[in-house]
Amino acid sequence: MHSAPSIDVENLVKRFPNQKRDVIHRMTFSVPGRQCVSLLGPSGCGKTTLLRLLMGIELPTQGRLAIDPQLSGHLSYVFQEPRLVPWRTSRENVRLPLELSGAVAGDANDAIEALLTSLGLGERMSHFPRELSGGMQMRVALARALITKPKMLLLDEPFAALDERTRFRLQDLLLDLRERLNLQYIFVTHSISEAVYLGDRVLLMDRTGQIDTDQPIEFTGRNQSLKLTLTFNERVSAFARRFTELEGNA
Amino acid sequence: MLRALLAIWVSCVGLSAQADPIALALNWKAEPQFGGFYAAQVLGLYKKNGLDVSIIEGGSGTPTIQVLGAGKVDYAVVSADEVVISHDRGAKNVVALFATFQTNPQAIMTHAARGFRSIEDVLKSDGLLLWQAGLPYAQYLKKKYTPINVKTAPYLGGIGNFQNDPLLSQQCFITSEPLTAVRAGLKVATFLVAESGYNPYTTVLATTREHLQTHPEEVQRMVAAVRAGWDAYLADPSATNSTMGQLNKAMDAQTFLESARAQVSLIRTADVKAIGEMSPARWQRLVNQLTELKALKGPIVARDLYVDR
Amino acid sequence: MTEAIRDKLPAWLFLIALLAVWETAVQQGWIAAYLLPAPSDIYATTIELWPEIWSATQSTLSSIVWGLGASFSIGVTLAIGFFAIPILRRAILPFCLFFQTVPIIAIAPLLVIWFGFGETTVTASAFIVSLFPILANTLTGLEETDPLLREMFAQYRPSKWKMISKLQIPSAIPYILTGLRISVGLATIGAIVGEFIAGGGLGSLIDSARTQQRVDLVFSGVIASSVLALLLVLLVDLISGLLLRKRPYTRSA
Repeated sequence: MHSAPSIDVENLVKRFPNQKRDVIHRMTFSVPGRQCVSLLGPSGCGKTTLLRLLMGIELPTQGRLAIDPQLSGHLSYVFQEPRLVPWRTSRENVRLPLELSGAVAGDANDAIEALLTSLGLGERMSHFPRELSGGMQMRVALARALITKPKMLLLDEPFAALDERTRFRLQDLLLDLRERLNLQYIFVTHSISEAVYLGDRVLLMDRTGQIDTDQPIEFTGRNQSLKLTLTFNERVSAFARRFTELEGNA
Repeated sequence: MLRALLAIWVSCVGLSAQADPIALALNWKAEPQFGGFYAAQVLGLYKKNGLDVSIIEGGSGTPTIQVLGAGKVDYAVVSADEVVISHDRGAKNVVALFATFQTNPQAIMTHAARGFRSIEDVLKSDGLLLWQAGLPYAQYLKKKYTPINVKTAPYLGGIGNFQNDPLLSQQCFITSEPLTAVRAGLKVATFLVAESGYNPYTTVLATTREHLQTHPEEVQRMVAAVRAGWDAYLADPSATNSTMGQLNKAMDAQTFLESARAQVSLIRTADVKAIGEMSPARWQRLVNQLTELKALKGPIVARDLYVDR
Repeated sequence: MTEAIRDKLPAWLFLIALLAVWETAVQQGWIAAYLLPAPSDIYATTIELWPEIWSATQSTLSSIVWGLGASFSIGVTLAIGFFAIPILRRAILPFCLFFQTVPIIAIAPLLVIWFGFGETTVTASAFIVSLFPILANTLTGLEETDPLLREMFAQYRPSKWKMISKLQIPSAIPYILTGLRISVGLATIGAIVGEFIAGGGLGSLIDSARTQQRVDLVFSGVIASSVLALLLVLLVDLISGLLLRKRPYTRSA
């Protein structure tokens, strides 16, 4: 009945060589398949480190971190900054992962253009990053992350530097991509409303590197907007209270 | 009382005038070519004439005549054609006092194996000639033996390139580089430029007209000391050579001696009674030759170029 | 008056004033013409001897171009090699410093012994003095890539050469162009110094003018060489501009 969890973490510890305290301290949680998780916490609490451990950029000091074999190798990372190559056009930036792994197929260009168009960048494919707004650059970065057809995205506060309206648009874009591409993601943020909006479930991290899990949030359907709003707002308040408690404890 | 004070004052001025340090700039390094100037120093002849002379060596590229013209030194050793050209360029204050070499020691040195018999042979041959193309003698030779076939390149001193290349010929002073070359085991054939008809006075002591006017007596004593120095050097160069050898390590003692001997016949010739004498005819001839070469822009009066002391 | 003109105007006015004072000083005899020729003399000489000056300039230019071509290709290649293979860098880079510090006027006579008189030596001289800035700047450019971009690249686990060719080399382009700009001026100096010793070109013209006591021609030659260097720098700027307009090569986004 149970399919393997996407991510299974047990007593995970991470400490960097030159530090006195663990960045991640005996963390245990599990993410079932298809579930999208928001990782919420104040700045500097180790959210990025956890993400990098999941991606394999860092290795655990102690404990167990397991990723479903079907997923590992199909992860894409989205940084806080767009990190676009300045001398490449949008098209060429999206092409980069294919070039670097030597997997450029004949029809790659069509796939790239289709992807960019679906993200609203149809008119901007030959532009250089300096000609694009922050929001557009982030969309190119997303396209770059998606061109390798990943099964899971790891996103590290990607919309933090954008203005509110662009953030809202990109959040909806992410939800749309989730549906269209059957995508799973782990989304790191320090914004409560963003965490609740984007995640089936929110994992709260505090400053001591521990995690406080919660019940999943069930959305019964997009069209029931009023119910959605009430549930949303209730959840936001509940989280805000819990968040403040956790901050006080650290 | 007043007369006594005046006498003391005059003799003080006279004494201090005698003790004025004088700078003499040469246009090459210390070699027998300048033997008389150094002899006067080594043998105390400057001092005997009440002069405190310091000698400044030169080298390739030292602008000796310009330095004299600008008043940076009191006396300099230059060549006669430089004096003429300097007048033409506007420095009419340079004036020649004493011409050491009656026969110009400028020459072209070649490897004997090439079988050249004259400068014309060299200029018509293939191979390479190192010389300072801007100098009047070079322009004279180029004009006289035109068209020249030999390839030319700059000469900066020494025989390094000559040693390495058996096809190479170079400018030299007959009293200097050929002797060094023979010492190094090479067989050379050397040809005087004077034999091709260009023979300016060389190693000429010169000063400025301003200095001549303000220090007439000193100039006379200077020429006397230099003349005495040359007489002494030609008689016996050994003491002076060891001093010069300390300053110029490129030539050894034996070469110094041979060079000193080789130049006697170029300095003391049948035309002059005393060393350093100059004649109006020679200066005029030089002016004529340079005018023909179009090295001069305007007319030059030969009489203005020198002063016979 | 446009902004650009208003910007350059003070410099032009100053130049004109300077030339006027200079001309007057010589005409009035305050400065002897054989020590410092008047601008009008220099101009007249330049016109009169234009064929010689032009032909000398072409010869010097040829040596500069070949010397720079060599220092550019060797410099960039060495820098990439040093970057990719650190042990090469540790072994060889300290000796390249020699190219930076050696006084060219001292080793030019040695060059003549090895390469003979003429253009080969002059080109070698231009090469030696212009190599190091290109090598050093390229190497710095390769090392100073944005760490954020490097990390982004790293997640795709590219081969070392893919990384160098797609990240470090394009990122280093502004640095390479800076090095080239510096080297152009140095190559000109190197060529002319080489010509003093080995003959040919503007160096030989200047030296020969000196021995002929033609200060006006010396100035003509010196001005010609300055103008040559200036034009080459402008050319590099032009190429830089075109290159960077086509693609915005820069260190970070």
